[in-house]
Amino acid sequence: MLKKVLIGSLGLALLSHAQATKSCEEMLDSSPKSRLTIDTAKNVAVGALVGGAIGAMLDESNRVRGGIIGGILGALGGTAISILQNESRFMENYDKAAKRYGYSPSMGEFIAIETVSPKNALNMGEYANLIVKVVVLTPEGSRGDSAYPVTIRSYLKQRDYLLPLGSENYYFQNGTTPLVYNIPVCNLFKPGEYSIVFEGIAFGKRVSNEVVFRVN
Amino acid sequence: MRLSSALISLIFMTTPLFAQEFETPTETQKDEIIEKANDILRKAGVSGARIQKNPEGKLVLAGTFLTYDEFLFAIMLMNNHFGPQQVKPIYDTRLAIIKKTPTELCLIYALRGQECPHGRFAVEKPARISPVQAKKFALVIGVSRFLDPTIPPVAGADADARAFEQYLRENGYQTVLLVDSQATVDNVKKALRDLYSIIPEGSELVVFAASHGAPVDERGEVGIVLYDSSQRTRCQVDPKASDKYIDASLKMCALVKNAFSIKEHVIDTFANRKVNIYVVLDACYSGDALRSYTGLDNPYYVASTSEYERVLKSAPNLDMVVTASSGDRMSWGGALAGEFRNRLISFVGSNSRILRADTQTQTPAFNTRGITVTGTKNRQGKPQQSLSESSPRAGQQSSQVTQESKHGVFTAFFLEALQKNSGLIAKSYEEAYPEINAVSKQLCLQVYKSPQKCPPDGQQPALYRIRKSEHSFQQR
Repeated sequence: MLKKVLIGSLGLALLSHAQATKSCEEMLDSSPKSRLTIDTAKNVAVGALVGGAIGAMLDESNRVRGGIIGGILGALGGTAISILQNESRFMENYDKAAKRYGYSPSMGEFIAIETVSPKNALNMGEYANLIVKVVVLTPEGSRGDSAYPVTIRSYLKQRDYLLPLGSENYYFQNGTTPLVYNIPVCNLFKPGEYSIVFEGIAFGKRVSNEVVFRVN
Repeated sequence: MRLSSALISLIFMTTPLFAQEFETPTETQKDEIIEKANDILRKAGVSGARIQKNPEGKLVLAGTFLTYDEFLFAIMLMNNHFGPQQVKPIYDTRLAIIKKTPTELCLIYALRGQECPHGRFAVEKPARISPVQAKKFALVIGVSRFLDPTIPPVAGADADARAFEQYLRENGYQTVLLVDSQATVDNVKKALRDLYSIIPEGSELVVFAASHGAPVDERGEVGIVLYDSSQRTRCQVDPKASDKYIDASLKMCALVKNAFSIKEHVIDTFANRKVNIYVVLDACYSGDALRSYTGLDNPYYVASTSEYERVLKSAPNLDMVVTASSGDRMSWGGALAGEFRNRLISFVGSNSRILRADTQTQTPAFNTRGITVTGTKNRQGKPQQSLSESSPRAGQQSSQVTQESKHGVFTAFFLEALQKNSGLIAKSYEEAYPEINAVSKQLCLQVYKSPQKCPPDGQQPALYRIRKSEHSFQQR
């Protein structure tokens, strides 16, 4: 028995080490990026527990089976609730965004970039889920049906300069649209603080914001 | 880069930066477009993509795209076949996921020190950091005189604020400085509202305040007295105070109305905005400025640093707090000998930052700070004319002591340590700690003339590291 436990522990240790030292390409390929699924753990756990309990209660002939099915369904429900919560947390229609920024049509076209890092300190093998909220407000407001081209550029902040990373072009509507970035904290990262600057270019204006995370 | 994405990039680059107006198809037309578009995408090998209605009923690209290039390719296909009037190129996070964006791909290359092949932009010359990208903000408050005539002045609090503001400004902070009559309750609230409206998420916010510190309620939460704050209770030495030293006895003797509350005005204001807050306070009892988080009722019981650090984890965004004194100690100040930025700081005069100290032993001693201390006598028993006579470094400075050279002991030593230690907060605090305690003890003895009244360990500055063990004000 002891031997089995030891072998099992060794296997787990090797597995966790392998996860922690995964190459960046491997991590990027297996990125769990999906809709705004950050901070879902709590809702998934609660959903699984409640679903499991209900499933076990309803399936009188086989409570284990009922519990498992209920748990899976509950976890899926929890994920869905999290996504909806996040969407309402990070997305805004024109009215909401305009109110928050004190925007009025007389101000002309407006763009802003906000950044969110749900987790500030990360360990090797984890993903830094960065959210870049792009706020576009124009005099057209909520009445129109227009889309506005916005270029999003990203830079890695070095000691005294910004190292360009990527440039992406999107069309956004009036309001706030979140972009999700899953940065794999892979074996190229050294412990320390990392800062990524996101720049939004539209209407002849450039705005930027920075997101900082620490790698342990 | 694939040819398709290069072409699409060109399409985007040449798109004029103004709104694209679209005509809305009917519901039947939409269904037809969806069927046709999805067939085109499937045949083009963009298997994860599809066209569907978004929650607003518009036809947009949806599904999972392996790369940003694939997303661009799908947009190009839709533009070519239907035009933006029928399938909108709007990116909708709720529907479309791009698994690997240039940002994610190029970060790996950047960490390796290699050029990234996933976009022309990535091979451009690195851009210099411009002030626009600075994300360091500070609200600096210093109040040395007050509207309420019953509140004695705090000599040097304005100079503390100016010195700290200059230090932060020189290190890249966008600062708001409110001194004396500018530091009204309304102005402070407005400054915080203005900061809230412009401060980007992820920014750093430093709040510095130098003034009197006094409890705002019976439970001992300490507020920073502003220009138009007023006294609520008269100062009486509280017989309930268990501390044998004068500091704790006087703590609850004067409550204030409309003081600056770190919790209410800073923490709560920025609770739903992701910023990193650093608080630096030079005021009496400032260690208890966030006391309400402890839930303690007895105002004379002061929580330990570790207790504070534990409970303050519930204060959103709060990273570090540095205070001039602990929750049961006065903070001292005086006139400096020599220039502020000199390596050797010496204090030649004293007064405390307690709101009021009308005691039988020291009636008017705290009404002035710095050049003369009424009611005290020099070593020869003669009435004191100048603080330099009673200074521990007598002779170093006398008539040259000016209004500008008065400072809080804490601010003077802490700021000097910050300048020496590249702005590292905890390191500077540790370095300044013994000097602040030694000098404050000396100043207390100078005023009270009784070791029984002065704590032997000085004013006991406090550092609460809530979320960060170290941080530098000079960090770029």
